[in-house]
Amino acid sequence: MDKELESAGAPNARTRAVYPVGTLFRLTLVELLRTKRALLYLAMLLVPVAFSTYHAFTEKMIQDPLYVWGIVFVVAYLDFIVPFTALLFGATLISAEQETQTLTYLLSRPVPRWLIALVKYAAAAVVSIVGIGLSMLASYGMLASHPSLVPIGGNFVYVVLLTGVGGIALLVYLAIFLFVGMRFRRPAVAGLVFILAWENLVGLIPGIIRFVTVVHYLRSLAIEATKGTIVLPRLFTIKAAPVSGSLIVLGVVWAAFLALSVWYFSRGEFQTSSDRR
Amino acid sequence: MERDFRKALLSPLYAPLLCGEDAAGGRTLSSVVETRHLSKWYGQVVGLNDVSVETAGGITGLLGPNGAGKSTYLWLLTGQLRPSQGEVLVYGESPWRNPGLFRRIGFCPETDGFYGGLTGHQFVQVLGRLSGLDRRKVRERAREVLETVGISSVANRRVATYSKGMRQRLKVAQALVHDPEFLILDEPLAGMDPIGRRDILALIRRLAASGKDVLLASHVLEEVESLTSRILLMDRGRVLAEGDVHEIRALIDRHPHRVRITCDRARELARKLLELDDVVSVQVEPDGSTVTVQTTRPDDFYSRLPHVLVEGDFDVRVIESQDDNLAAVFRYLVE
Repeated sequence: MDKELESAGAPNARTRAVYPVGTLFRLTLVELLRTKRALLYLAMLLVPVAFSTYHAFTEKMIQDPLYVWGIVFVVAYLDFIVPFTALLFGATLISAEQETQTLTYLLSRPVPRWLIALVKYAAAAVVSIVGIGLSMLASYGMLASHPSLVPIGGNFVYVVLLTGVGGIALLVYLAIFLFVGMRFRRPAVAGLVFILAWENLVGLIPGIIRFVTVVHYLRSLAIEATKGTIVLPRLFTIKAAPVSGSLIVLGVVWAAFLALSVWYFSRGEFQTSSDRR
Repeated sequence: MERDFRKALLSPLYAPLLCGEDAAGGRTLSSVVETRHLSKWYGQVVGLNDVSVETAGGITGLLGPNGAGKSTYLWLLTGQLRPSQGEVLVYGESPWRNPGLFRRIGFCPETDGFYGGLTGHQFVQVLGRLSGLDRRKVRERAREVLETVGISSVANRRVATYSKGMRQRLKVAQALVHDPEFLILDEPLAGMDPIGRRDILALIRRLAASGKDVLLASHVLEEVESLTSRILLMDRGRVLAEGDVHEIRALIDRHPHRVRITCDRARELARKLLELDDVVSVQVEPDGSTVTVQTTRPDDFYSRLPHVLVEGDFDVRVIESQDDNLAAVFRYLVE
């Protein structure tokens, strides 16, 4: 055995310079998709698809499918599925590893903490964006598959643009909830308050206060993406911000929260007094 | 005399003998771990209180009951926690936010957490990759260490299906995968069967013989005693004593031992035990079924006890030693 240990594959100079990003990324993906959270995520993704399927087969579909899908996009995806998915994955990226006591293994490896935080964030972003993107396309596909309706091609550009808005929303919310998950003892409660009270209620209050919500800029982007030609009922109640302004604000919020999360994780202590022996 | 011995153990003069201080009287030549006035608080809770010790190479036992501060100490050594006060150095470097140092450290935590969706082989491979081993090498290395800890036959099973003993072995395997110089093992034998304990103890001996430094935390004196004579005794966040385990052991033996025996006809047994010359006192509990014996020579007492029990045809249900554990030593040192 001693000989085995002596001949062990100690990292050489070349491998030392390359961090095992792919391994950490895959490990995070596997863990995200293995838990019960993934089932809840899947259920959320299927709801709008099921609704669209039901609508396509039972309604006479006198409206443009994008009109109906616009409602689905705002009510189901932008206001509900996107932030809740971000909460589900973002807030638990670190805290779940604390609960399962696997974080110790990561933190005692020669990988910088900032890299661990970023790679885990990237894995959660990929899982969320791919799943929600596919769900969005599937739900629109079901609505547009009705034989009596306009061909899909005409509106598809808008669908793709709105899917992109959904992706931006996920990136921003994930960064926010990554920080919330590390900073708050009960991240689920803090996250729900943020989504339901701040984003949805404050966002509806007339005046300037809505400008401090993330959802205002996402809705603005959605309006601009469809050039206002598509009726997105709840969006018409606000004055949309310009695309560049929305992108800048969302970019700043994303960068600030991601940097804050990485900073907090790099300096944080994730062993508590209740864990000690 | 025992008090004098304790003073000797706690004396600052004793540490240089353990660690081999250099001629200049400065930093020790071979210190693996060095802490100076190290303290850690969790809010109002004191995890570690003003600990200044040096640990030399080879095997060192970190002994203390649950809640003594052992895990806090190890988390500080592995950079999981930042000192509230004081300084901790491993191989002369601070472990806090120093991931490069972790190439030299293999940590087997006490916590029983795993990526349950992975097999044992995958688990070790993943952590080997995170330690900087390349893809080709890590596969081979994972196979080697799993064989070394004796779970290669279940390496392709999901970790979620492992027994407690297998999980303990797996934790040791992941600590070894990147061939570290310094192994930090937090209660590695907890929950293992006797064969597993024997195997892991033998492995630790071999690792130390091959030149690795080992810090083994345990609350069982016998485990540490079989590996090393160098120990740190901790309780309530403080180092109570550091020194030679055999002298600590002798201290336990000089301290009167209490043995509880639950049997039928406890009063008759008490009378017979009082006839033994090494028995200091005998007390029968009010329910009349348990005798508590105090003896100054526990080894002699244990060798004669079976004869007394057989001759008297006593129906014994329980024999337990109340002092043959660290808690008794701690009580003695603290009182």
